[in-house]
Amino acid sequence: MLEMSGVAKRYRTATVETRALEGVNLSVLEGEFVAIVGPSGSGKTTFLNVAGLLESFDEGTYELDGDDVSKLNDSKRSRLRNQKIGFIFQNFNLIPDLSVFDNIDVPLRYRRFPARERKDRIQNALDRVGLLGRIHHLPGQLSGGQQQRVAIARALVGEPRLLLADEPTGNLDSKTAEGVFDLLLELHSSGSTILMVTHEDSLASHTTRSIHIRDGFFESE
Amino acid sequence: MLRYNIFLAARGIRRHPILSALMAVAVALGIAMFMSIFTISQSMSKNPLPQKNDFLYRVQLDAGDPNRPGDDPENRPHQLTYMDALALMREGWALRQSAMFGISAIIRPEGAEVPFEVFGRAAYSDFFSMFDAPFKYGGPWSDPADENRERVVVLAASINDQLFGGEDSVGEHITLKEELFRVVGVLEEWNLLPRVYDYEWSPTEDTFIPFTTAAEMEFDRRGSTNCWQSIPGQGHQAFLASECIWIQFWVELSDPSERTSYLSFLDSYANQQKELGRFQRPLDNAMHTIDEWSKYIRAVDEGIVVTIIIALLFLIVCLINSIGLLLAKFLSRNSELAVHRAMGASRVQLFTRFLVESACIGFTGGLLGLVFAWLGLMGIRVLFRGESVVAHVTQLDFSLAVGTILLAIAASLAASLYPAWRGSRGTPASLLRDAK
Amino acid sequence: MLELGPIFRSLLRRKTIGVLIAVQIAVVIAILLNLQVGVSYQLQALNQESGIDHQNMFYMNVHIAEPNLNPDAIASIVNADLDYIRKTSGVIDAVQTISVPYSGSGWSMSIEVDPADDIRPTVCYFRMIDDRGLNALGINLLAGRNFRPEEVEWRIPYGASSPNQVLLSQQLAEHLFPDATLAEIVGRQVHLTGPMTVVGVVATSHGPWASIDQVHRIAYVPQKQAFDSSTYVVRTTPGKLEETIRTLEQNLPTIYRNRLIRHIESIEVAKKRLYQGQNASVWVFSVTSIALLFVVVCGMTGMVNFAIRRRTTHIGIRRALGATQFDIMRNLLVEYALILCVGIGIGVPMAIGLNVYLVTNQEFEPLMAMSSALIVMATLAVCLLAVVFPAQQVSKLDPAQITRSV
Repeated sequence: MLEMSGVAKRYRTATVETRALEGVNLSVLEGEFVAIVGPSGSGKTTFLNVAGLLESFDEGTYELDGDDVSKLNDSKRSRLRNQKIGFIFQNFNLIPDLSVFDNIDVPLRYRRFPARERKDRIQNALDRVGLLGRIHHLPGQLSGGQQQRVAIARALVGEPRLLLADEPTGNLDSKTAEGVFDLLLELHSSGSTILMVTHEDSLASHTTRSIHIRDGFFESE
Repeated sequence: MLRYNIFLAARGIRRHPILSALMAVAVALGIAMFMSIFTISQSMSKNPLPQKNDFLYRVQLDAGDPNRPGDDPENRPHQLTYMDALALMREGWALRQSAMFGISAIIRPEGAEVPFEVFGRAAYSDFFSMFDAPFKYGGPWSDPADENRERVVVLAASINDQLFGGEDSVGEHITLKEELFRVVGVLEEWNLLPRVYDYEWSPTEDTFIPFTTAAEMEFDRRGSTNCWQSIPGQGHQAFLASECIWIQFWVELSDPSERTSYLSFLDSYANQQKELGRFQRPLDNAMHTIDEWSKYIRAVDEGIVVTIIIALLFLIVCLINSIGLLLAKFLSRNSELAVHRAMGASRVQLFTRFLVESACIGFTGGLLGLVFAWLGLMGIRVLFRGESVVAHVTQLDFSLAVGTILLAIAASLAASLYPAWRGSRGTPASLLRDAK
Repeated sequence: MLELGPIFRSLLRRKTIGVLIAVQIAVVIAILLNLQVGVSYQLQALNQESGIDHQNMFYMNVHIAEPNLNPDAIASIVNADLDYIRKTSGVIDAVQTISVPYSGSGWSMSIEVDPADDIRPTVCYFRMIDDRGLNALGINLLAGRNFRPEEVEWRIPYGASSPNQVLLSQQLAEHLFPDATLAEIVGRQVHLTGPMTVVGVVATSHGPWASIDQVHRIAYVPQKQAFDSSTYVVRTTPGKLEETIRTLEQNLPTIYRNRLIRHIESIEVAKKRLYQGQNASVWVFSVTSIALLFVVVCGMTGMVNFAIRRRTTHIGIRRALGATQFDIMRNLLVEYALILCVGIGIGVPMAIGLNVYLVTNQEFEPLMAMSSALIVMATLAVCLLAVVFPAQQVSKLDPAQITRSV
């Protein structure tokens, strides 16, 4: 499903080179729920950006669902991201002036689905996260937990092969966080492959596998 | 995808209404300024007889003062003396030719106590076909009418409406300068603007009579008369025989290639006159087409060139402005862009989306620009109250309207290239980081 | 003291907006400086002295319809007209003349001191007046004397009569005799339609055509015209202009029936018509300048607002570290003043370049240092105003709130 070997990423400014990731080897199988755990500044967000094809990397190879993505141009990477990856962010990243429907519509639009199919998919995804009644609301009219559920629906709607979650419960109070995490577990049990970065060891304990990251290095599993 | 882009563009515009409005106004002002000045200069330098341009020539003979006074001392006079005009007419070298001058005539409608004044033109019968004057009734007078100084007249549509209610008046008579003139033709509405044969931004005249008749009856001349020598003797005959310069002369050649031959004919005529002691300046005769003539006499006000340059610079300022505003608009939308990138929008797709958004603003700016351009042209009409011609050159027509909107869109697209590139260039990861 | 170093470095880092603002100001300066020259040049033309009592004057052109009327008959009609007009209540005086100021029609002639020399003749406007002409036009005599009644003769159509006396306008007199005082010019000989003696020098009045270069060289000869077309200039007591125009328009044809009044117009109206091109230029240039400043101020506000907002965090930290609102404002103003000065530094040479092009190719006037400097200062001030508003908003932000969101 996901196969990384020796992936390294460095940021350069005129004077300083920062090593964000170094020699990352990772293999995720279909249906796994993997947690990457580390303190802030450990490189976990960079890892997620590389894994999600949002950022290029400097060394190593990366195969996603059988495709070598290390040498793809922006258009092809964007298409892969659109079809195979769903993102869930810590701060939800809903577009504030688009309704719930239009927010979930974004990935479908770039996939050029016909209008009918888009509508059906959006309704199904919202139904799965239990927010069908809020389809015409704006994000600002929803609570934090509801917003994250909408974001999850948006990540699900294109039926991606891989869900990437970046501290999905980080901005939520503990009770709401629990509900959202339960939703992720539910998705996992129904077959989704999930890769989650977090600094909370307690969440990691519920996943199939957890890997610790420190200063850009993966610690042995 | 275009529909989605327009949907997103509308959201984008609504998200930054002030920046978008500022840009639309900037584009509108720049375009309006440029388009209205452009329209005026275009219609001012337009040749109303393009089909005749290679065939009609204004003739200049240098019969001026050897000491070169006058209003244009460096150049040959624009007009001819009566003697020379008659001589060229007599030779009849060209396919068609006509000496002419503007007249003012007192016309006395039948039964009316108070006469009124009409402007007219004294010309030869060839004049009408040379300048494509359209006849509604009748036609030009005959060649013998020129020779015999007949009292015949061709009326413009407006004066025929006034005197004969627009009826076919051929064969009727009117009183000009207290003599009866027989109407031989009536013209259709004739909008020769500018009036190229005697270059002026005025409508064509109301009456046309034979040159020979006008000279004999001593019709009042309209236009300039330059006398560099005092008139030898007294009376009108002495004036006609003088070196005074007051007649416009045009020829129509059957082929543009005859131009050089006609010019050498003019030179040989001038040399002949030199032997008689006239034409004391160096040999310097000339022929100009309508286009050449309007440039030669600088018919288009030079001030308009300055204004065009200013308008162009104004447009540039508006474009620079738009670049800045778009940059502000596109770059301050990072979090939204990052989400689109994460959801699978490629750089090219974001770039296109920005272009669509700018085109939408450009379109709005174009519509607004049309309003501004209209206001500007109306303002110019107010400044030139009473000049009928100004209404003619400040017309906002369909092609201008379309041009304004297209130019506005093109300008906005041009202005958006760099901001769109900058806006779509950031890697999604850095955009997401900014979003936090 | 003003921390120019950090300001400059932050400028270099965020260069795009700065470059756009500078380039925009450069072009604006190039336009404004040249527009200003255009406006002031046209204004000078518009505001030049008429040299006559133009507010209380009008002229009328009367045309006799009867063809081939003999000159004596015409002369008696003209005399009757003049008598009638001069007796009309509200009329100070009237004269029959040609080349009426601002009328757009007239005669111009060559005049020279000595026809035998090689000096090119001067072109002047030609006015025929009688002994009451100066009074009717409201033109002062500066040296010598007015025409005497017995000197006034009749000019007939196509007649080659040439009187012996001439009055010169001051401009013409000084042009023909650059080294003589006005008093010395009186009594000199000139050659106009024939040899003439200068009997007097009169104040310069406006010629019949628009004159942008303000040259008004006018020669007066003592003649009345027995032409079938006559132009009378009438001067009225203040406030009586409109009334007199109406009275004469109605009554003059009754003196001799078979004629028409071609044209009757106050000098004021004629002046407006004659200079409407210049007037239009002033308007077009002024409206353009205002629109330009409007666009620039709007655009700058937008761009500066954006550029400053991007630095909210940076500013918040500085506030947290003890910078006052005033410090922030001052820093931002200095920063944008620097950018604007760079723009002006590019704009002034551009303005000069454009001006040189226009002067050499388009009969334009050269820039003037004083007014150019004023325009530059004013533009700088207006543009800085566009910075004040967004800068003020940012400097008022609560530093605690800004830094918390970092």
